[in-house]
Amino acid sequence: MTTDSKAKSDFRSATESKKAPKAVADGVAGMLLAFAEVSGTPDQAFRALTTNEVEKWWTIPGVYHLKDWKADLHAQGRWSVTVALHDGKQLNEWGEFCEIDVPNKIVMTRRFGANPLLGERETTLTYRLEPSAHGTLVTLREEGFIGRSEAAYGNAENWEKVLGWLDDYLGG
Amino acid sequence: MTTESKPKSDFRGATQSKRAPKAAVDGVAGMILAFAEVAGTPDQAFRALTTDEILKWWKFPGVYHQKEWKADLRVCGAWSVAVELEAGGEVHADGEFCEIDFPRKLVMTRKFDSHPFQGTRETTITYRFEPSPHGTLVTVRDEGFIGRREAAYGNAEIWERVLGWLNAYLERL
Repeated sequence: MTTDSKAKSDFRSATESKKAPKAVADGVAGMLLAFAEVSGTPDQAFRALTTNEVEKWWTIPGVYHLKDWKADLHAQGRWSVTVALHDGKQLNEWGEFCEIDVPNKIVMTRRFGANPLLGERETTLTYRLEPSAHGTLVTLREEGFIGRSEAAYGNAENWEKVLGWLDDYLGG
Repeated sequence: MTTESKPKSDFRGATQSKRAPKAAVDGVAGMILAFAEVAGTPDQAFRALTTDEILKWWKFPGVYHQKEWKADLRVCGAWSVAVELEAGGEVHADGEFCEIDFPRKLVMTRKFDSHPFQGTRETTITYRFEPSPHGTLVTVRDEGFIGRREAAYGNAEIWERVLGWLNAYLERL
């Protein structure tokens, strides 16, 4: 992913370079906000996030990979996935879709079977996918961490990685 | 500011290193969320942002510096500052304080009399200051950019700089 800055015309404007993944948590409000420009179109990013394509790229080498993705892609439809840890353990992750606007927006809940920081707390993810100069601007909001601020800060760091893998997968 | 990562005990946990300034934008919702761990105590960070100490550190070398800070630090009190551009010209920023909970939280509005992307749109800035292992965790929320996306993305980059300047200033105290 290109992160070098290009000159900007006014100090108050944003650089025109491809936006590298960034995620910031608000521990008190229990939410995090992340964004990145990724390669590919909003359609491609939407499919990568909502179909079993997710198993191809959402992985930390040496830590975990995802398998058994299932999704009933409509509002109130369920989704689930198995997180296969490389130490042999397996975790489950699941939730339901709340709002789907192909290829612009996905709102979905998420819960983990075992998470040392989040417990069984359900969070709500909102993805927005917009065409951008460098492919697709992905904006992600994850809410529901009130009282679980350590999980919010940890998840924020993980989201930066996830958005980077998504960019790599889509051709970045 | 230290930015190197320290190992974390679980891949889902946050690194223990000092958090470098970072800002993310939700262009559709018109908000910026930024944070940084800065040197010093919440009291020191709060004062650096609300008194004329601000003139000592909130400056963009070669681009602008600030002068004539005025603040009536109470709810509904007004604040203002002049921004002198090094290229010539002056911009004025002003607003009012909405909530003051020294030294934990500060909510204030801000608008500029001239801004190429934001116009005269007023935004609301919420600062929170929390003691942290590396000094003070400063969280900034800047809201009110709906329909002014370019201003939001540009301001986010400036917030990262500002939090870096604040840390550098507090390290020198």
